[in-house]
Amino acid sequence: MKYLGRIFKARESSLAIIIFIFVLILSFTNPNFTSKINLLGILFYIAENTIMIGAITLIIVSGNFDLSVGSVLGFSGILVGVLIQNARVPIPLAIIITLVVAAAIGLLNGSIIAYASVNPFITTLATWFIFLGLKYIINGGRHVNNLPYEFNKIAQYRILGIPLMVIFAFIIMIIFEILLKKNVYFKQNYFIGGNEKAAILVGIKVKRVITFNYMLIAIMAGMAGMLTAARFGNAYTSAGTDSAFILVIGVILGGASLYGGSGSVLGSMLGLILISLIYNSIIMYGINLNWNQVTLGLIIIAAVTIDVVLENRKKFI
Amino acid sequence: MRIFKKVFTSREFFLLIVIGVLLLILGLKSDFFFTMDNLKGVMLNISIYGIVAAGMTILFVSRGIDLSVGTVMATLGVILGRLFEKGLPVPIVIIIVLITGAVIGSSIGLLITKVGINPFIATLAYFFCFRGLSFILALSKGEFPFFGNFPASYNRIAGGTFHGVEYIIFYAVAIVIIYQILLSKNVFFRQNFFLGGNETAARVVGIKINLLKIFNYALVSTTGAIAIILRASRVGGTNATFGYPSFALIVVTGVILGGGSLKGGGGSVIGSFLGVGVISIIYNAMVMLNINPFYTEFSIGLILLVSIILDENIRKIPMHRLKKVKE
Repeated sequence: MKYLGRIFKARESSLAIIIFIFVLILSFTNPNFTSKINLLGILFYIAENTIMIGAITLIIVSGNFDLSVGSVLGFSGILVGVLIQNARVPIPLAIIITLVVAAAIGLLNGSIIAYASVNPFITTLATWFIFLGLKYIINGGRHVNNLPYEFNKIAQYRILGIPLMVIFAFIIMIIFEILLKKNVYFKQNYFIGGNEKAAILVGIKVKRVITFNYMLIAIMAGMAGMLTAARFGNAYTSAGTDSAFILVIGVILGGASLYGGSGSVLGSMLGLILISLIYNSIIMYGINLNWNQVTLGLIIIAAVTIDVVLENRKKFI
Repeated sequence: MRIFKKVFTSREFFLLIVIGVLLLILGLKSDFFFTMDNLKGVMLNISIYGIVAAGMTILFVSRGIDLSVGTVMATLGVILGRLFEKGLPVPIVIIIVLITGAVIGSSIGLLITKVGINPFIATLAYFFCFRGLSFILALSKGEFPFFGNFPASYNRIAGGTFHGVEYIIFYAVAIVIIYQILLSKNVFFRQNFFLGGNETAARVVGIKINLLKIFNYALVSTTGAIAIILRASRVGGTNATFGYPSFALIVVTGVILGGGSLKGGGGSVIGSFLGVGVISIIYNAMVMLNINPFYTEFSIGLILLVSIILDENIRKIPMHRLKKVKE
């Protein structure tokens, strides 16, 4: 355990150093970076993903994958918007309904992957598209504009100058970090990711844990979707399109292995901050936004390559 | 007698029936379906999906997958357009595009074999990369990049009809037949069944699995190059937005409907062709019946989800009760 602890610390501290240097360079070479608008934008963007980073770390540590988080996020935003505006549902009820729907989506993903034993990639690929479509269907392809202030303030209201959404996101992230480090139930994920068959033999209720993981990530995606809509005051159909990959890159950079069995929420968080900064700097330097897509792809490959190389060092095959 | 049983209980026959039923329903419910204009469009889609599905089937048999083929095709299309802009002769352009496709596919194969990246992740990464790249290469063309004005000799390649049937269908059928024959009869291609069935055993038996895998990925991308070349010829143009977001997904779903399995070891090119045929007709039907166009992504996701659940769990039924042809 102590050796593992040292490895985690090594990765986390090197990430922290890289981030620190990156921020320094950005602050000195580009005045726009330190502007209030930009910093606030980065903060909200990181917060949006931070809500989900804990849950996605669980999924990856247990050796699975979830590509559908982005469309669950977008779908939840539009759903809550449609409920509040078109259906005139009271705000608290709308939020609860959306969370229940998100949980149901997670249950769907989890049962298919855990109980019907279907490959998690292709399952979540399919649900990604299903909810991508549904997101457009429920409001005729339109955004939901001009959400009421009563709703928006759950993200925008500031305590000591920090928006509520940011505070909320960080609290959730820290809760996940503590749970994954200390709670027996959550730590089971390491065993499941390390060797699923052994986990079953040892008595871990693997299928239940995996299903629970998928419900968690879906609920977090639902929350992130609603908060993002609240932050902008509009529910955009484009919300969350890159989320799945930003999150995964963050988790990989943070030291988790895609094969499962290792990883930490804090590391994933730092990885998330790093990739968000890279994304932001591409926008800052006025580089064509399409380079974002290219960069995304390249970073996925680079990160996974590093992951594979490190993983192979541990194995003898 | 047994061969009759094998044909009539096969997956391919089932799909043929489904297509028949769909055509029947559409013919009755819509006045526009059987018009020349509409049928031409449907045939174009089936041909393009079908050509790529032929290559994808072989990849599936070897337990691989390529989610990037759509956006790679878009980039190849943009390259095609740019090369024509520079005035290069038609044969040279075609050769360059084909070679580029092969190179891209080989790089995917190398990442998957030599570096060891999971095919889903690697090809998904390429999907994003080439999506961005297709727009970057088409930067000067404004917001909806479209390349047109190809030489007439190029447009003649796939642009005509033969007794009312589009050239492109002939190309597609030819490719499907060739790939099917290769997959069933050719020793090199048949190795994929062993590779997909049990990779370790295949390696032990002496099959060069890395070479085979790289070849398969190169094959899919090159087949995609062929498809985009034909499509550009038939349509008279190419755009950078092709293939996003669901081209590869449709092809994959078609392959699975046609009997391919994510676990490898099974698949039929003809089945995949029929599979994408079903999907194309359903898509067209949704347009004809005035169903909300946003249902397209939803329905392809749903069809994929249902087919993979069935695919996974039907294999658990004992063999003697299985109607589906596995090999």
